[in-house]
Amino acid sequence: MRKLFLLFITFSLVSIANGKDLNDIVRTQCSTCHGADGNTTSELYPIIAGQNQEYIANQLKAYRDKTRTNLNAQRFMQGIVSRLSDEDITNLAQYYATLKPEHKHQINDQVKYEIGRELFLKGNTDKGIPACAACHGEKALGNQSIPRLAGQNLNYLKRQFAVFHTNERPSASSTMQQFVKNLDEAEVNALAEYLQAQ
Amino acid sequence: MSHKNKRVVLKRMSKLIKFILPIFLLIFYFALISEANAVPSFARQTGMDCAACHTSFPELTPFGREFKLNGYTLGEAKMTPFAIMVQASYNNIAKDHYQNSNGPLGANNDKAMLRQNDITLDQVSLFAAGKVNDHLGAFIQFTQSNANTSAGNDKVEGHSNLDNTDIRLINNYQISGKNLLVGFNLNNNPTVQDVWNSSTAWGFPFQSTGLDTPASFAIPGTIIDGGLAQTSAGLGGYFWYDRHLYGELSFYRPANHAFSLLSAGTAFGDGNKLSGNNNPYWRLAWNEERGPHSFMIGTFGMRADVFPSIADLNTDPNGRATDRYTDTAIDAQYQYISDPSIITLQSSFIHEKQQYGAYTASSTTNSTNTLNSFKAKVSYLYDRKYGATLGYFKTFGSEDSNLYPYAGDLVGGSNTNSGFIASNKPSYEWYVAEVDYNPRTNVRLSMQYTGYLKWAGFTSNYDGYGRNPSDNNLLSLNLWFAY
Repeated sequence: MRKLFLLFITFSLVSIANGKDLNDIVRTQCSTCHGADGNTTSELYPIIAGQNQEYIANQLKAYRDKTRTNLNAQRFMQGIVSRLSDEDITNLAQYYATLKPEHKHQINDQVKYEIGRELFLKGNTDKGIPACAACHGEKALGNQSIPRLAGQNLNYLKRQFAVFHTNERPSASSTMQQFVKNLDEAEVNALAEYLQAQ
Repeated sequence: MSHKNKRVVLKRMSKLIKFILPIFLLIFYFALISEANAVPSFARQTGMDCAACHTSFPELTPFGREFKLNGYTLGEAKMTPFAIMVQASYNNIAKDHYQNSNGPLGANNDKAMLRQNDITLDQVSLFAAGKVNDHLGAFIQFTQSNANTSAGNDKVEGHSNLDNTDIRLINNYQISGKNLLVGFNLNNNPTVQDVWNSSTAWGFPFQSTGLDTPASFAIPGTIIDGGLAQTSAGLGGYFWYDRHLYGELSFYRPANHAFSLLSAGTAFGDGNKLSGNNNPYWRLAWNEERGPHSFMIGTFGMRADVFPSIADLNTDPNGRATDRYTDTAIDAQYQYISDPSIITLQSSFIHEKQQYGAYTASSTTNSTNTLNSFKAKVSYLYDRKYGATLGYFKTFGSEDSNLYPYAGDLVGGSNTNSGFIASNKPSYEWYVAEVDYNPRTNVRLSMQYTGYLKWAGFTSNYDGYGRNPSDNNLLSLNLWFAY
């Protein structure tokens, strides 16, 4: 045990010299929830592999500035990004944007999928719902500050629709609130089903 | 209901309200002034809510396990890494007096529990817990606990001691693209360093009263299940490879001399003082994480040589003859963590081989015995607010008429159990059912019911005077608050 104690002290002196880089941040702060390659299968957290760089950076800043305030943002993200510098955020956004998203291409409910597809691509003029594809693109890949939705986790997508009814994501609410206010639950489920299967 | 009974009920209700009201006011005060992330020191360090690391404290999520294995080093070191915790309970035992052939014995000495239908502030803990630098972190708990400490005394008596302590030094390495975490650990309670709640130190039930009960007196436990808590000092190394494979080897010694701080406030007693520096503890576990699912299967154990009698350690010719306890355990854990549902299952089986030295062997029937402990629990948590848990426990082992002479025992009482029937068996079986309400992620109100099915091998009339295992059933209303 005495030898072990000496080893403990030696190890502490050696290890203190090491610094922290992007890999450390990814490993200790991101990958536990979002998956080692950004392709988490957890229903709690979004897939961030292949997400648009500008969108990731904007969201990380929104967490850091505490302007994105939905419950899981408060529980998990606000704290974890609070120590990130602008440079860290840029590097992380760049890193995750280059990772390849894994898509399941699995349709759970064909009827819902078709309704979702119709809504996403064409909208519903009677209800004042424009086509989502107008901003998010026909393949739901988004662009710059507009998020990629293709292949995202089903439950994460549903939760965000609920968040858009509130002011907890102010950067998105101004746009999204007017669109989602006319969506009923069945339409939300259909859109989420369509998008997760992309 | 008679006037007398009404008065008793009103008095109890009044006491309950007087006790609970200030606690609720305190909780609401903190609830109002706090930000969502204003929870204990680790949360303040990371900026994250308790929910990031705990499903329902102290049960860890995969992120919580990473945080602990990484030596509590995530986040920013704080100058004041302090937190407090309060645990209180209101307890009712099914039958609070033992009786003999003449009926209830009546005196305090013969109560089955000394604070029947009463409220106890079980413990208040102060934590110094947090990051020192990117490679060094600590969890140090100092506790003021209240418990009965002398026979015939129905008042709780306070006692302070250094509680669970876990100091870590870590580093991470990349091997062929996979992460290897290597760490050293210094602690004062075997398994307190473990990150799965299926092992002993952080296992269910997560809260139980510190009061003496028939169960705390009678049910024998394996030595790894708290038998060396705060009297031992363990130093060891561990690795965590690719979030799949965990291995640890530590060596324990008595927490005295240079390590005496680790047992501050805790006296050595019979059977809890280790002999020598190299009592090994091991842990090996395989972990899988698939989306919301995580699963672990593992083994842990230790070999402990202990002195059976502190009083006779230096006076009896056989006093320095040690008893050897070899514990070997298998355990498993499953977690499903989603929104709003969380499900957890944990189970362990511990087999203990007891080999007695000359001192103990002179008073036991056998020179070696075995003791086994089985535990299993399942929990459901909805929206991290409403929870329900059911646990099943069983202890069994060798028959030894000298080691287990009586089936009955008195809590803090004088020895009136000479008439009790012989037991010979460490056979106990019980369950714990609990419902929880967590108004915030750092506050828990729970109702817990412990039901005994078998006591010392008997399913009824274990003391010969009609006392059944179910007479020891315990209903507890618990409060757990951390800030």
